[in-house]
This record gives sequence, C-alpha cells and structure tokens, in this order.
Amino acid sequence: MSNTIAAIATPFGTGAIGVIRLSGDDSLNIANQVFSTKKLDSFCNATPNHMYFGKLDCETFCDNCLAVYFKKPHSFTGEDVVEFQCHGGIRLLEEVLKTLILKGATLASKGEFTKRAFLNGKYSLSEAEGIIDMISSENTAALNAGYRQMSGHLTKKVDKISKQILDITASLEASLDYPEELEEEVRENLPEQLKSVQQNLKVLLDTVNYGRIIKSGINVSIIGRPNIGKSSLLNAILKKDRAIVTDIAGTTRDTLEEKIEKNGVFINFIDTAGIRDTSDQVEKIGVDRALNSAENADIVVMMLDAGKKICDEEIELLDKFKNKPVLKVYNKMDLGKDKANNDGLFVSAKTGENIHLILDKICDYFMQGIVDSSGDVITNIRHIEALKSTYDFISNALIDCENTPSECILIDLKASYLELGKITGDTASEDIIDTIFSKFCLGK
Amino acid sequence: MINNSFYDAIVVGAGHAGVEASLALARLNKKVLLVTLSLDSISFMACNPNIGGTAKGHLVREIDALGGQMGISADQSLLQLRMLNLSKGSAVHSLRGQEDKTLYHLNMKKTIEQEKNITLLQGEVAEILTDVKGKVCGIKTGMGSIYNCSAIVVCSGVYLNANIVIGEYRKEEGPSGFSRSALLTKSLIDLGISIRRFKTGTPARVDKNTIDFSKMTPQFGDKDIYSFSFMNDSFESLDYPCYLTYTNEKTHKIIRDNIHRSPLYNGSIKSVGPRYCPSIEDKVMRFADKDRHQIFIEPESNFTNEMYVQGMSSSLPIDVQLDMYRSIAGLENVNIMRYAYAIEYDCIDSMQLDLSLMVKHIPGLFMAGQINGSSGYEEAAAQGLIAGINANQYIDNKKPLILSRDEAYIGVLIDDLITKGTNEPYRMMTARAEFRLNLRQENADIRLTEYGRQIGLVSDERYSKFKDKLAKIEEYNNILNTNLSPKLFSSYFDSIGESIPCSSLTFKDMLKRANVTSNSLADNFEQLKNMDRRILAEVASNIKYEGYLNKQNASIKELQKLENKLIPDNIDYSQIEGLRLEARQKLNKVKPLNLGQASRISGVSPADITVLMIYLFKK
Repeated sequence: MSNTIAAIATPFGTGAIGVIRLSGDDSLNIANQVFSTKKLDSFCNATPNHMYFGKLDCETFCDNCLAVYFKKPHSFTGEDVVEFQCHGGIRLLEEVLKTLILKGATLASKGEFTKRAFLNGKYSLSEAEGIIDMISSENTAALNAGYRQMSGHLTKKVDKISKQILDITASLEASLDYPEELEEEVRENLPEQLKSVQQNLKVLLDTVNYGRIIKSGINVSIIGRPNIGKSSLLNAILKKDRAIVTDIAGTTRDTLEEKIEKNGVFINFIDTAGIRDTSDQVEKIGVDRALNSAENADIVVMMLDAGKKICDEEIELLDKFKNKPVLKVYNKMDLGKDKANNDGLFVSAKTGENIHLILDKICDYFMQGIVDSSGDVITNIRHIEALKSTYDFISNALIDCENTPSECILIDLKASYLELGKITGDTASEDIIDTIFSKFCLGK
Repeated sequence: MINNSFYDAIVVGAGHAGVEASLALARLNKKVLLVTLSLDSISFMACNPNIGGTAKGHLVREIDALGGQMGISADQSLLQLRMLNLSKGSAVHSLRGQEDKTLYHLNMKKTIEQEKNITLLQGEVAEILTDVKGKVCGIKTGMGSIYNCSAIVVCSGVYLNANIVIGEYRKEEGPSGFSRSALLTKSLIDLGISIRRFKTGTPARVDKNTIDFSKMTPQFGDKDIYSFSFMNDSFESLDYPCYLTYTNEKTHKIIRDNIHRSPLYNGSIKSVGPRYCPSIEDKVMRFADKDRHQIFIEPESNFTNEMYVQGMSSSLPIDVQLDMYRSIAGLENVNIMRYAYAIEYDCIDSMQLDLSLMVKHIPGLFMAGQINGSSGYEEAAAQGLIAGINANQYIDNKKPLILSRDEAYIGVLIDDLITKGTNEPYRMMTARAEFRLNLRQENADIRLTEYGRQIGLVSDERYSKFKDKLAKIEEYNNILNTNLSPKLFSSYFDSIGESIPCSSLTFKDMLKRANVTSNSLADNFEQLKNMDRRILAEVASNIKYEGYLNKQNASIKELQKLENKLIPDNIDYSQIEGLRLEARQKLNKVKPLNLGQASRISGVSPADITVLMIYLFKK
C-alpha cells in the first residue's frame, strides 16, 4: 500500500478558488475526517465523479467547499483521489493542507502526483521525459534549501537537538558494542537526556503554534454540559446575538466560530454543542464535533454551573483534556455559588459580569513568551511534519527507557534522528559510528 | 615451468579467509590449490588470541550455519569462553572465546590436510593470469611455476608489500616475522585494480613468568556451557583466566614525552589506521582527560609463556615501549618477548567488487578478507566463505549466494564494503546492522542453514539436527500458549516481584514482562522443565522482542520492495538524463544489483532513485 499524499494543486498565490488534492489508498478516509456533506452519512460512501457541496472542518476554521472523489484507476494518478475546491487564498489552503497531514496524509514531494501517474501507466513515454526534467530540477536544487531558508536562530536549535540525539544514540550503541570498555553507565542519565530532547522539540513545535496564532489567532473552544450557557457566553463576549440561545438543552448542534481582537491577537471562540449522551443522531454528531474542537483548540474553556457541585460527567471531561490548558469558567454566578467551586473564574453570561476577565486570562496565558524575542517561527510544513515525527519517536523512546533493553530503544532513537535528518540533511549510520569513536576511547 | 595439473580454483593465502574459501570449494567437490607464503602460518592469529566478541560472535555463528569451519575449529581450541552483554537483550549477546593460537593453527592445518580436494603449496603468487577474454585462467608463482584454473580467490591478508614499523625501525616484512608478498600488488595493478594502503598494529607479547598477577584482577569465563558451532552441544571448556590492569599517569607521561618518536605522530606512517583499534599513543593523546586505560593480559597458548597485552598496541621505539609497559601495575619487571609494531599493507578499494565478491571487470577473480579493507579474523572468514561459495557458483555457472542486510551480519558486512566502501579497516559492529533484533547469534542457524543446504555445504547430520530444532520450536511455541489461572503462577510472580493480574495468562504473556526470563519459567513450571534451555531462550526472544520486531519488519518490507527492483548490469548511468553528475559517477562505479543497493550509495539521493525507477520502468 502506498502512503496517501496531499498537496495544493493550483498555482501558488491568491485566486478565486484553490484545489487541494489527495491521492492514495487512504484518501477517502482522510477526506471523511475533514469533510461533511448533508448528502452522505460518510464521505467514504461518496459516488465517484460526483461533486458534493459541504463543509470543510479544519483545525482553525470551517469553510464551505466542493469535494469530488475519483475512484482508482480512473483518476489522474491511477489511485484513489479526492479533490477539494476551496475558496482561494494561500493561508486558507495551507491550513487545509496542514489539517490533512494531521489526519494522516503525507506532503507530496515535487512531481510526486505525476510520478505516481506515470508509474500507474497514466503517461506515455514522451510525457515521462518531462517528469524526469521536473524531478531533476528539484534534484539540482540543494537538498536542504528549505533548511537554509530557516533563520540562523532556528537552524541552531534544530542542530542542537540533532546533536543531542546523536550523542545519546552513540552512547547507547557504544555500550552495546563495547560492553567491557565502557565504564560510564549510559542508561542512568537516559530519561533525563530524552526529556531534555523532548523539551527542546516542544519549544520548537510551540513556535509552530505561536506562528499560527500570530497569523490566525488563538483557538478557544467553549465546552460543557447542555444548557450551561455556552452560547450565551459567546454572545456576551461578542456583545451581540450571534448564537441562538434558548432554554432548551441541546439547542446548539454545530460548532460556531467567531473571532474578536484583543491586544493585537485574534481570539477565535468556538461555541460547541453541549456534551451529553444522546440518541439523537444529529446531536450526537454535534457532540463529537464539540469534543473534536476542544481537542484541537489551543485553550479549552470548560463551562460549569457556579451553583452546582461538579458532576461525574464534567470530571470525566476535565480529565479528558488534562493535558491542555483548560480554563474553568463558572457561569450563573448571579444565581449563587456552591462552596466547593473555588478554582476558576466566576461570571454571568446573563449580566455580563466578569466576562472581560476571560479575555484577560486567555491573553495572559498565551502572551507569556508567545512572541519569541527573535520573532522566529517555523512555517515550513515539511519541517513541522518532521519535527512532529521526531517528537513522537522521542516520546516512544522515553516511555520505553524505564525497563526496555537499549537495542529496542535505539530503534526509536535512530528513527527520530532520521526524521530530523529530513530537515538537516544528516544521515544516520556513519554519523553514529563517527560519534562513537570521537566520544569514547574504545578498541583494543 | 607449466604445471600440468588443472585446478578448479586457486586460493591465494591460507589465513582465516583463505581456509574458509578453500574448504568451501573443496567440500563442494572442486579441486583446489591452496598457496600460502608459509605452511606455518595457516590460520595464524597474528593479533589478539580471541575469536568472537560483539558482532563478530554473530559472524562466527553465521559462518557455522552456512557450513563453514571457523566455529568448529574455535570450539576445539578454547582456553576460555564468555557470553558478552548478558545484561542486555538477546540480540546483542555475543560469544567470545580466548583461543589457543597454536592449537587453532594446528587444528585448522590438520582439517585442510585431511580434505582430499585441497592441494597445499608453500610459495608466493606473483601473477594472476587471464585469458584473451579477460577471464582468470591461472597463476604464476615467484619461482616461475604456472598453474591453471577457472577461478581464483585472493586472500592476501596484510601481507601485500607489508612494512613493519617500530619507532625509527622499518622492515619489509609481514606480521610476526613472516615474509611479505612483494610481487602480487603489481599484477593486480596491471589488471586495472586500484590499490590503497592501510595500517594496523598489534601490542607486545610478554613473558608470563615475569608478570606479578597479584596486582591484577583475574577474569574467568562463564560457567554455562556455550559453543560457537551448532554441531557442538557440550564439551570440556578450559578456563584460563585473563587479567585486568590499567595504565596510569606515569605511563601517559612516558608516551607524551616521546610522542615525537611515534611514526603515527611524526608523519612517517601516512596510511589509514582503524579508529576502533587505536594504539595506546592514540588513546593517550586523543583522550587526554582519561586518567587510565584498561589493559587485559591474555594467554596466547597452552604451549607457550607468551601473554598478549590487549590495549597496548603501539609503534613507539622499543626503549619507550619497555618503559611504558613496565610502568603498569604488575608489569614492573616484565620481559617483552615480541615488541609491539605497526604494519602497513596494500589492499584494494572494495567498491571494485560486486556483491558476490568478484572483481567486476575480471570474471573469475574473487577477493576476501583484509585485502578488501576489512579487519578481524571473523570478518575475513565470513568473506572467505562467501567468496569460496561464489567461486564455486561461478565455475558451475550458477547464481551467486548474496545475503541481504535483513538476513545476516555477513550481508551487512559485504554490502557495506561493496556499496559504501570504507576509508579505514572495516570492523563489524552491531551498530551497523539496522535489523539487529532479527540478526541474533542464537538464530543464525534458523536464518542461514537452508542456504547452506541449497549450496551443498550443510551435511545430512547438521540438517537433520536443524530440522529437529525447528520441530522443537514449534512444540515449545504451542506449550507456551497454555493458559494458566492466576493461582497457578501467583507464587512464582510473588517470588520475582511481578504484580499478579486477575485474569489468566499464557506463558507467552508472562515472558513479555521484564522480570520473567525463560530460565526462571523453566525452573518453576513442570510443563517446561524438560525443554532444551537454549531453544527455549530463543523462542522467548521472539516473544520479548515482539513489538520491536514488528517495527523492524515494517522497514524490512520497505527495503525489500526496493531490493526486488533489479537493475540490469549493462546500464550506462552517464547516459541517464536527470541523474546528477555525482550520482552517475557513483552508480557507474558500484553498478548496483537493485534499487535497494543503489539507494545506499553515498551521493545518490532519493530523487536520483526516482529517476532511476522511472528509467527502469521505461525499459
């Protein structure tokens, strides 16, 4: 099975529409995670060659778009292909692409669609010559041109991480190949060293978020039980009747997004359906989207009832997002508050009391260090992808380093080095052996 | 003088590579002429008295599984045996034997002499002869005899134009006082083979009776009985100790004060030495912050008082050497019987060979061992075996045996030498094997016996023993699937400090826990008591490594996809549009067999591979 690739298919720049193309066995699956249409329960059941109108649900925004599915082999590449016709604008298209990658697609390299088309017999011989030209033009460009485009500051950071991983790897390798000579106990410091790498990667990856935040704002998802006042809160923040508010639990079915500006940064508030077990098909989708939106948000506003004790469902929900910044907001303070509730903001969406504190709190949270003094942010999607995989491999290694033999941990460590090598251009095997011998005095 | 007898193959050199090559050919019913500079140097261990060690122990087991000789002879000549890395996972467990050098040489010489298809000849090979088509057809010795043959395996070790260097003293000589080969290099150059010069070294041998062992720590072998060869289950293993001592500040000062007299530092040696085998002066100069270095005193043989001083190889002048050795605890009054020396020698650029170890442009000419830029007895033996096998295949016009990187350390070794090349004497390391978890010394027979059988080197006896083992593995696997309720294993789990689950577990589930070893399971459960512990341990490895093996197998599949895309050998890469210049040159030099090999050549980028893929598709 070939992996599924994605790329923006229309020329770079702003146009009326932009096309994003997915190709590979997983195309439908990935498309289904971001695209919904009233015509279908699931986009996986899409009829080939039909245009569907629907909604594209991305990390940072939702937009209407058209989607079409081409079934293999009757497609441009000869594989399953899904194309999205979105509104134009490079920012928007990049966000869609990022989302697709998040859902499992890999970024297509230059000419890869064409290459696949060729390999699947979609091209004639003479046309193939053109592909070779195209690839070789990429080829002659420096392999790590993208790397040099990064600012020197970032390059240094990535190099540092790469060196860190290399040193750890070399130490472990040396202890395997030279069990008698290596007096240092390399495993002792391993958890600490890996944590440090993980932390350094996280700092870099955070700049990814900050970069996005500066461009498109902070995503704040408002979640909570039905009828707790989420929509009222949104209206109160916006100071307008944007969301429909009723006394009927479950009024909000779909996520609703609005942005306001505070201290020069956009805050995108996402109102969501109240979370509860429900048999209503439509409401259920709403609940899933609410959870999804919270999952992808930069910060979660968890709305609670000031007058009531926190319930099991709410505890469960808080637990679910314990790894994210969560701001507890107790609504209905005008109706009195329970003594046990003492760890969040108390507001009244109805009277507007303390609403401004929510904005302050969110800004505080992100303003601390939000803008790196150098202004460096990672924007290259290929770099982001590589950094994320590196982070994942290091996290695996960290989980394993408790009681797994070194030769197993090294599988993830080497994989992480190779991933980072996609940015730096480093390759593993000789680097590791060079480091072993420069670092340790080994050999008979 | 033209000798009238015709040999199928001629093997040049009877070191560790040469004997494997000759034995493989002879056992495959080829008439072999084995020519060596001295009959007293057959399988001579010119440096350390060990066989095996990390990664090298794996190689010995692989040689054995294919039907080679090294493991059997090593088992016959042991002074001490240890399994290294036992505190780590089974993939890096490595067997290392202290060997009796004299006995090893005699055992191997006897094995060769008993082989009816081998004719042994002392002499110097001066010339490789080729016919009008450029194929090899014979050799000419220094004394002028000509012998005809279909294939030649050159295993010249470190003897080609060798120089011994000790300080200011320099002598045209091979290792340990044996004469060098002075003529063959020129013949190789005339055949269009490019030559390079490498360097290595060995420490002094000292008189056992002049050592104060009370100042050193003795190190004994393992009590558990292991063997290199699959054919040896148990045998009396002697347990001669090695002794650990250290250099000290005084030693280091002597070296620093005299460093200008070291040929490595004053420029009189220019050839490339191995980083993993540094001389003591290298260690002291490069790692100045280390206040001591380990030194092991190891027995050379039961027939001599000579002791090997591991860790002290040097090319310093003898007066400095004596001071330096005598500065070490326990060696204060030591007598040096043979001084340490550096040796420079000619070898070839291994990228001129194909993966069968044949020189690409000279059909029938195979090369194995240190002449290919490798180092170590085991690396040499592995190449010798493969070169011997493939010389046989060449003569019979059959497909060569090429092991891939996911099948054997031998595959990694040869692929590295041929595809990547080496700029220093190449040593096998487990770090070089990306599929290390699969390539365990314990399963070498599982991985390779079938290949050996197909080639014809695996005897009926070995094969039936192998089949018995496979049957046992299946049987054990079934038993290990037995479900046990917690009350049946709670006392065992208590004893090893594992928490007891509420649900029942199979033995396999238990083995996945870190504290559960196959031995402790077998001790505690009646069903496993009578199992062969070695086989059980091997089955357990697969269970313990399961998740990681799956990860590795995924990358093996990726590799195989590329390996399966074969490249015809008549491609002229310089004519392929779209390849970068560097890639064209490298590809033309290596002439890879398949896309996998092509992708490992340094200087060939993934984009080049894509171009190549498209090009092949068009054809």
